[in-house]
Amino acid sequence: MNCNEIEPLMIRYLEQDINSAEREKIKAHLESCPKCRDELEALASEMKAFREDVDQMCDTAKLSPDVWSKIDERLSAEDRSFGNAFKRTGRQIKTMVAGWFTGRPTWQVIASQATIAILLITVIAIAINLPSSSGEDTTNTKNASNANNADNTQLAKYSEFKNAPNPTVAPVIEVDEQGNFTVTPRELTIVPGPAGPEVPMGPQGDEGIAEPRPTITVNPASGPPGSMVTIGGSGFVPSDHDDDFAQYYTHGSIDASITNLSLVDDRMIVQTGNMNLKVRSVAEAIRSIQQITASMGGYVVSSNWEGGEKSNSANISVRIPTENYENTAGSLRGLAMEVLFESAKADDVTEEYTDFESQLRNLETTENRYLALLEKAETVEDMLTVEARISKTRGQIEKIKGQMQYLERTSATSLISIYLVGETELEVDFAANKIEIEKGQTVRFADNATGGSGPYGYQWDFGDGTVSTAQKSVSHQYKKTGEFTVLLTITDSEGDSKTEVKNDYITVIGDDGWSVSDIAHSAWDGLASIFKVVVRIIVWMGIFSLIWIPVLVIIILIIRRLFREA
Amino acid sequence: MNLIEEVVTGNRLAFEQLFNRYKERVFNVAFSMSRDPVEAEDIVQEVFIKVYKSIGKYRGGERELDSWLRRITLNECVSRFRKNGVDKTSFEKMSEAGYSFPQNESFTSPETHLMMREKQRETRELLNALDQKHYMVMVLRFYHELSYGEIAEMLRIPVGTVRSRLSIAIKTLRTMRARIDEDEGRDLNEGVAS
Repeated sequence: MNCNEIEPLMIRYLEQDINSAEREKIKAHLESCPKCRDELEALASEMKAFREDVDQMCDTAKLSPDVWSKIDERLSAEDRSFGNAFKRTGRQIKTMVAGWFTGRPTWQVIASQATIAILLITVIAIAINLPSSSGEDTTNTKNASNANNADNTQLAKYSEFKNAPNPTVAPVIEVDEQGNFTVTPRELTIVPGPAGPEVPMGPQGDEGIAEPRPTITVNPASGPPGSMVTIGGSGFVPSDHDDDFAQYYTHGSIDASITNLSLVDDRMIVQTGNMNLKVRSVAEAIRSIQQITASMGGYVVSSNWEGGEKSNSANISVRIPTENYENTAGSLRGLAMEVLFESAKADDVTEEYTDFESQLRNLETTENRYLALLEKAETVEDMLTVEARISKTRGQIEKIKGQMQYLERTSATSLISIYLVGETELEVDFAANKIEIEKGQTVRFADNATGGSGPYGYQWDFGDGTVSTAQKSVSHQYKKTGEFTVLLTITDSEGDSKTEVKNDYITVIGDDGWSVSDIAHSAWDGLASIFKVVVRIIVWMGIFSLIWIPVLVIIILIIRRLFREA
Repeated sequence: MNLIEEVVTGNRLAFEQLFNRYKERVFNVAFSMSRDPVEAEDIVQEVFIKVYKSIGKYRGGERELDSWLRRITLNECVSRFRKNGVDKTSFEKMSEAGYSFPQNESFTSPETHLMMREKQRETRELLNALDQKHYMVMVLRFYHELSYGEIAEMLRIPVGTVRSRLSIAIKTLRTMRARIDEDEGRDLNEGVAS
């Protein structure tokens, strides 16, 4: 074997991924060829170095601390869906039942058995008392409004927090005849408002060290007219509440009585908002949003109205100056018939920004040092090498500046993403479970209304002189024979109403008056329902086998007594 | 009841405990595979959500949990790559996301600081010289120490392809390292010259 043949096999040789015959040949060649030995050595060290490199790379990255909260949020969202709750309950029961058969009768096992027994007895009791045909069965679905509950609570917390009375002591500005001003008190300690734990204060007992309370300082506290006044904040800790802090800080304006002063907000906050709005017309809403954005000094980032006029929903994102965020959000809410969802988020990027600042300073120092070197350089070669280093440093400086500008830009404007859903026209329809019945039987009607805006108001007319305002579905017993026209009128919350008429919809047959067959029929019905109840009891007892033990004991006792008597 | 059984019954606190115990390890695996902290974090999320859903099917004890998690994480990384087919280097991705590398907290003089960052940058540069499909084979073999067969199965490629990718990757790294060392050598000479 020569060197060229060996070369492609080297990695396989090192990895011992090769048959023994070839292995021996390579070994033999290596002993005689120092060049190939070096090559092999180099490859082996490359493999080893790679591992160290990956290790080193891994050391540079850290998992950000909010990952758990993201996972937790996603899991909670999934838990709310019924299917998963069902599955989990299934799993819980499975582990519990498994516990029964491991043979250790712990109190948990006994407790769970007792719970199941009680549950089953309750179910049996309910089953017995359940009427065989339920009469006026009205179901009211509120699911749609429940779905957003969690988001709404979050929203409520946020606004409570925003409106918390901070600071509790309002500063007073006195201006004398010459225009000199005095601010009292000079230092304000902020006391959390009723929103309580939402307000970032000292640590929640984790470390047990009292942090200083957030304080706002006015500087200078007094001075001649026209002086610059700075209002600063300190003690806003802890850092893991940065998001809360940002909201707190920007919204906690000192007081309305300080008309010419406002917080000097040296924090950089990237504010973003999300809104789902239900509107009468999507086209109109898009136009209005464009107007609002323009009037607030912002611009539309993207507008996506798939399907155009035919479609009933659109996405639109706008950027507006951060100080106009609240105003814009208010105007947008005003556009909607209903705010389906709203969230606001503020990310504090101050730390990131200051990080960049210090990096920039370091790099600039380095650059200056190189510049000084350049002056001292005597040969052309020296000059060229130093210049190369300068341009490299310059590149890094530019990159950091770019990132800083990006942060400045995003914190100066806020992004609001709006999802619009248009209102659809109210459509009313309904259906009966049977349309041909015998006299005295019950028909169940179910509505099938779409569009408009809930909740609906219902008005049923069964055609035999009876009406009902029951919701969704309704049962009605026809006591006369004939053909009946049924009407359903639905009025939505906006006051729109629509009626669906089904002519001669229900046909009731059978003769009027008493008859033998009627009596026989009702007697049979009675017997049947008793029989049904008995069957249900047996079925339920069959499922719950433990109950058979006392039943069997009783039966055995009775049989033995009977035998003894006989 | 042990921790796993608690998690099976849907105990979220127990799950958080499990998360905290294994998050660093999972992140490390994810980051080693993706070379991108943002992506790695997504993977961590995905992995733990999968764990939460499928821990009912897990049959091992706590001792084997580590390797189970590693396996799930690796599969997630690979399937993500297969789905996206993204072959951008992570460095590009990162500058798009405006990500800054975490720095060493302790104070160091600007020179040592720069040198350290320089070293880190060089390592990144070296590793980023490989595109994702070569990098992945490399990292699975020499960092996670999987056998050729396991790698082939995971990536759904023939064993021969694993071999050829490894050999290309090692050669690329060698040339790249030589080039970086050369740069460094020049820098040192400059230092002497000035």
